[in-house]
Amino acid sequence: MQFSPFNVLSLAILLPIVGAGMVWAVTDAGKAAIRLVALATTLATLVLAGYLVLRHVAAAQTADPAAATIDYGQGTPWIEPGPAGGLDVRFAVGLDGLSFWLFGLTALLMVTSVLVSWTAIQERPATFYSLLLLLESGMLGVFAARDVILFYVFFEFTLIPLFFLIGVWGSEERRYAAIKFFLFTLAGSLLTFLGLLAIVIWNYYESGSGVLTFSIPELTRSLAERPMDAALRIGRVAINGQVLVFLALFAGFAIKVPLFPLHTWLPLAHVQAPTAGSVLLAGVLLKIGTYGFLRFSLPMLPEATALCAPWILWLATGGILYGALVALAQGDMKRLIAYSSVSHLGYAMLGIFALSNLGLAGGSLQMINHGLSTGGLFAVVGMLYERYHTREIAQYGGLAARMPWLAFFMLVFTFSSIGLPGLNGFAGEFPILLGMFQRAWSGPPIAGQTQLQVMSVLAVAGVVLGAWYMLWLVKCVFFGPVKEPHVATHSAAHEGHDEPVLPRDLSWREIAALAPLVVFIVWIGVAPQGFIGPMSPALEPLAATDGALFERVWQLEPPADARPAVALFEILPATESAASSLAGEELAGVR
Amino acid sequence: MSVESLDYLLPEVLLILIATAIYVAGAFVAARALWGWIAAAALVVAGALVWRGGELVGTPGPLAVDALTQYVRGLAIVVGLLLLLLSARSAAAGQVSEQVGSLLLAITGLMLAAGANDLVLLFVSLELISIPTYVLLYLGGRGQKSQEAAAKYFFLSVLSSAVLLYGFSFLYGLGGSTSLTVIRQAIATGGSTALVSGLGPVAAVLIFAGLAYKIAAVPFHFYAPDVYQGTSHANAALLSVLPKAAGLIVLVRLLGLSMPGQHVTAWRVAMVLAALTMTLGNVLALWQTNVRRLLAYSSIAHSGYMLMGVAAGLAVLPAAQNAESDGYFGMLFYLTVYMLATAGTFAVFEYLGRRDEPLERVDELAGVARSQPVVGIALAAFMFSLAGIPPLAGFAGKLWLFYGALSVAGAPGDRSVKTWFALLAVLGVLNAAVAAAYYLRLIGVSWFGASTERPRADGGRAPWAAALVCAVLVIAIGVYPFPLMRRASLAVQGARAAASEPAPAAPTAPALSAASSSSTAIEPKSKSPSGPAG
Repeated sequence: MQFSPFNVLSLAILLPIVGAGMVWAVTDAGKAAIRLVALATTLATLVLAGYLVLRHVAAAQTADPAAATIDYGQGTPWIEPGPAGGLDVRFAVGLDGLSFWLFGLTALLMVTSVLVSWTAIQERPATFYSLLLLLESGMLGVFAARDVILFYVFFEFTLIPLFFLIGVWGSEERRYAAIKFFLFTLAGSLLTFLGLLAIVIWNYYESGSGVLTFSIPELTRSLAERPMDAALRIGRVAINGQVLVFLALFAGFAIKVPLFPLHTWLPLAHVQAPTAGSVLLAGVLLKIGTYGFLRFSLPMLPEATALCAPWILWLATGGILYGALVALAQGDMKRLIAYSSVSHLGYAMLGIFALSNLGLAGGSLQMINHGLSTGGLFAVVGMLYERYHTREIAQYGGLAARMPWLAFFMLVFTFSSIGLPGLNGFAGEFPILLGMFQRAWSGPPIAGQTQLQVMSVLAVAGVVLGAWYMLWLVKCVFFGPVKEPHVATHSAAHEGHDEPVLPRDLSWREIAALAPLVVFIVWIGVAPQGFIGPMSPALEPLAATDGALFERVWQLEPPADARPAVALFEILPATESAASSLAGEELAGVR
Repeated sequence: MSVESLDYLLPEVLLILIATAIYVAGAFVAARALWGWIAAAALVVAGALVWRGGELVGTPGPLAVDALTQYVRGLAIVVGLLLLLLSARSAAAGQVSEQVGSLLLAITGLMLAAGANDLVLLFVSLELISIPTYVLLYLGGRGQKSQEAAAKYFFLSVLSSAVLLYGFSFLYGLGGSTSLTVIRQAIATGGSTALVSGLGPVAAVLIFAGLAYKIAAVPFHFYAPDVYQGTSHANAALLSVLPKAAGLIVLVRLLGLSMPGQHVTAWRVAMVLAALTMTLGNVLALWQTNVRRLLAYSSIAHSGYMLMGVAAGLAVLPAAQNAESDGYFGMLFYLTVYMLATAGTFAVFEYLGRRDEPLERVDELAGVARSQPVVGIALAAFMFSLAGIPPLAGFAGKLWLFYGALSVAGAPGDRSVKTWFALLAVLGVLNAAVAAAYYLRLIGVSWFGASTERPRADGGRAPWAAALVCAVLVIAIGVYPFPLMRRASLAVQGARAAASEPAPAAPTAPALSAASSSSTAIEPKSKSPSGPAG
């Protein structure tokens, strides 16, 4: 086997599956062996992922344009088209500017997840770590997939392990939470599935090559040349097919993000999930939604993106404010952080759909930042829960005196989350807001400009609210007079339990789980350009195409030659409709 | 029927002989294991014969042996072996030979129905599935409920046969012959005459009605929940796979391949039935607490999805743009994975109960995954597969089914057809989301529920093995569906090619040109799309 990027990447994706099998195989050797195998697998995967990420960073710094992209090849064919055409399905994986940081983040957070589960999971540990590793494989696969079918398989596959992680190892309402989480995301992603199929089929008929390609780069290239302009016709009303496909994709990705008001599954799933599940759900799985927009909607359906952007921006702004306001009213730590996720992902969406260079860069960075800070916050809360068995904010107070290390990590993650300059949150939020302000004020005059201005101002207000609820949480739990929940009854009853009688500060294992996150939080905060730079070759074309289309679609006086395709629907004159239904088809597509 | 036809019919003849022998000898020797082993051996030998005769393609006498026939025969034998395992302990001691014999006959019926090219043989083969099924329903009897189930199934089945026969009589009137080849030509040449355009749709609708009973499509589904609930797991498994497969294959053969020009009526009927069937099945399944009743509604819903494939296949008549966009391919592939997952689910239920006290309520599954990890994983795999979640076989099935429907929507053609198929596909995925709710409930109970008592798990090793085999297949096909896809695709292409060939001068002479026929069947007929001016 050659040491090519494709092979390393495939190995990184498949290694956790092998690890899951090994965990299952050493079940009889006891808990310690299971944990060690799981940890070793995640560390090995992290090494591979780290190697790939470093190669991408290095490639982005070379002046030679030929070496700037890493060639992952065409992948291994599963079904090859014959000479007359046919299906082309491949095991094609590859990373690019949109995905390699997320790939690395996944591998990093997996180590944290295994370490935070170390003592928390006492029941059926082999199954737990197997599922955790399967989940890792699924998440890595989503970001690496270069084939639509492969992408969707990984995309949906992530649901299965997480469903069991929540349902078996969750808290009181775990069964309801698991099923609600699964059904909500499934309902959306099935529509995404139809949308992706529609893109593939439209491209098949339009390209005329006779090859039914599922390759994502191929589809992106092809749809950039031939914008999807199919229409679904009901009587005399022709509905823009590109917008329909966009909405179908939106259904799945927006629920995954989750975009307000489709977020209702999130707080429940977060609160009920075991700590590792919450960390991965917040840290990685939510990003699959935003990643989906970046990978499919923006490059493949630019006109529909431009047309729908104002509405999505409103939803994002709504989510920022709603998430923050609801977070203010929470008495449960995990629930508070879950709502803060809704708010923070609102920023990511705001940046992406501002459709400008700055906004897209900020939005993409915000995805990483949120993974680090919220993943860290959930891990810290999980550690508290492991010690005191409650997540009730009112039960705690003054813990900084009892557990300085835990308080230190909590503070770092909090500051990162509220966007303190010098830490990564600021490096993400600032370009997002800047991009949004740019879109609202400095661009050419467009219809609904006032709305954009209102949105940008409201989004800034969200920053203040974010600081408010997070600092309130920290104040209540870590400062003031010491107040600890009563725990003695629990620990005394369990001999042989790893639990100390009196809760202690963080162990070295827990520090090892959190420290890498802090390193990156500071690193991104002081040198954001090093992180944004390698992404920008992938983001700039998106900003250029979609941003220009946005200005075109929403300009105040549309020119006479404006394409009719960029409207949600049009009513055809009776004669034209009759004539074209008699005449042969000149336009193919989803109709 | 000429002598050469026997070559083609060897597997079926063997199975019928063995079944008869088992019936007769069963009166003297009441050994439970013996008859099971003999039947299994017969099925394996028949499978080998089908495999060996894979190249034997032609239309001898009343048969039309093509790649589709061979695919369905192979499928029938695999499913037959699974059903045999599944029902290993479900019959009372004195009735084993009757049960095993009837099962063999029903499987033979499906194999014959797949290859029948004559209305009489077609009808007889369908009855060969139905009549042993009546016997099985009575044999599985446990009191009044099963009597009611058997009686209900019997009377409605007879009624549906009558409707089907009435439809056949119109076909006979059109073609002047019982041979489907002759009928096809008569319809093709006389497409515009008043006779064909008047009687064709009537025949199509009646045939649809007759077969809709077999595949349990709305509004002919009413028997299914009661009958499934009233009978044993093994019988319910048989009912949910054999008649359904036969009904769908015959539907494709008759309406899809033998009645050219009638597809406009046919795809509309299929589409309406598909939409109603999947929606009603899924919605009603949500409230079920009895496991067999729940699976009855689930099987109704899956008929709806498969009818969507049939509708897509009918709408692109005569030939699809590429082999995999053919709705029949989607239907056939889906049928295969559906049969495996459903048979596996019933095997799990059979294993978890006792003969005199089978698993009844969903709640009884509580905590099964903890006490029986393998069964728990298998059940989860079946449920996820039926719900269509990757990487399980059901996802691949849904993928190609929806691909078929959306291809009609995307292909150049009549606008109204396209819109309807796009809407049908959307309805289909919404239904899939609804369906996930009740499949997840079963997983939720078995994995997250705390068991109040240990499940009995006294079904014996045979159902356990059947469940395991199904689970392995469901996972393997899900991860790597391509070999099976290729076979299903070739099967449909072969059937399409055979149906579009002009009939041989003497239909009784078997065209034993194995090499040439099979090579035409294997070559993909797809051409590059005939250029939309884009």
